[in-house]
Amino acid sequence: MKKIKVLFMVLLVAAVVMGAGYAAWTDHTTVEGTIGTGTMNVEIDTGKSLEPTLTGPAYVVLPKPEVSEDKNSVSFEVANLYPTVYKGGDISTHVKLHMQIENVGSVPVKLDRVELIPNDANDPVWEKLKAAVFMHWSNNPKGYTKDGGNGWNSLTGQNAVTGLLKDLGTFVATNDLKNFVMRPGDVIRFGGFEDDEMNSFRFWLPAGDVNNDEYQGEDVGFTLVFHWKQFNM
Amino acid sequence: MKKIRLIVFVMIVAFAVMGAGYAAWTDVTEINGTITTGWLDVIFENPISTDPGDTPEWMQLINVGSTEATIARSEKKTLEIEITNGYPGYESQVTFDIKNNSTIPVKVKDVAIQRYYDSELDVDLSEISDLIGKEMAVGETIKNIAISNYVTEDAKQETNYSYAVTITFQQWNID
Repeated sequence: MKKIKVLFMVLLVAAVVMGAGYAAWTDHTTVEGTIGTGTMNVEIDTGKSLEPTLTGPAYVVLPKPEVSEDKNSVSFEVANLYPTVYKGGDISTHVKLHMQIENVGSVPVKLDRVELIPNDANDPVWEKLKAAVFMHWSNNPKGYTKDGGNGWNSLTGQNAVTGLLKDLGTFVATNDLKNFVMRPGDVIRFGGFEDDEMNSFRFWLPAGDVNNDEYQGEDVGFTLVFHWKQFNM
Repeated sequence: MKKIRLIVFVMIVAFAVMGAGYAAWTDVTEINGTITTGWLDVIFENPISTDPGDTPEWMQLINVGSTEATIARSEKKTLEIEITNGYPGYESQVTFDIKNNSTIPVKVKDVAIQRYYDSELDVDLSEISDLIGKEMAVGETIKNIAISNYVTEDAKQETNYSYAVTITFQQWNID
């Protein structure tokens, strides 16, 4: 009989405690946040008819430029270059580089700097080589704008920016280029292809500056590296 | 003969007693009790993002990130905040209301925060944490609670980061 009494008391206490546990009503709300980041990726275009190419005077050896695996730099070595008298529209007086860069990422970028790395920086020919650069950008490089334009806008103004080729990284950094926000899908052309041959990236060995034999037998090689940063940094 | 007299006497007494039984009046009163319980229900309302992705067309290629804030499901108990194409420096804010849709007052018992990121994000959830202990009357709405989201320079590309905040409400009269 005593056992039954004890069991009854235990059950009673358990029931009271259980009641207190369930007594308060509760409800929940939840905030779920998901943040997905995008990509920053600018590449030298290597597509058909847009891959970097060199054209130039007769007898100058112009190998196919090599684009790095990450498509951020391009290298080449020009052989048998000789002094010429530069004329803008005359391909026999300079070497032309045609190249296009595209923002294939999902966030806009700005050009931080252009770096030119000579194969042999001590070669005296670097003190003589000159360059003239036209740059254009477009968000519609293969089409035409509604107002009849060809979709290309200059980053260097009416005239090419010029200087010693070794200083390319400095003189090419115009305010227009430094402030240019390259949106996803935008392209920049250094030089031109079939549709704007006159506007290009050119370099030459000026005839008036190299009257001795010091610069004979020179090969000119360099790598161009483009450094980009986020548009909002 | 004596027996017959006795039977008649007994019957007379029996009828007399029976008559007295039917003579008493009776009545009944009744209490009917019905207890209807209330309910406890707290919901989200009016989610607003400062960057919902409706940027004008000419700006769309610059403002490439967006923040969407939606109340999921009909129960209105889950607020989903989704940032797309975030990048270091991207910033947005989401505001929302919390309404006590219950039939009794409630109070915020607990706020549980789970963060699935380290230094890649800076998410300000302080306005939600500050709600702990807050009582809400029936029908009361706490308006414009803000969550700020900021993507830091430590964020990696093409990565998803997340967080979850669970707010527990309890009836106001129980500790």
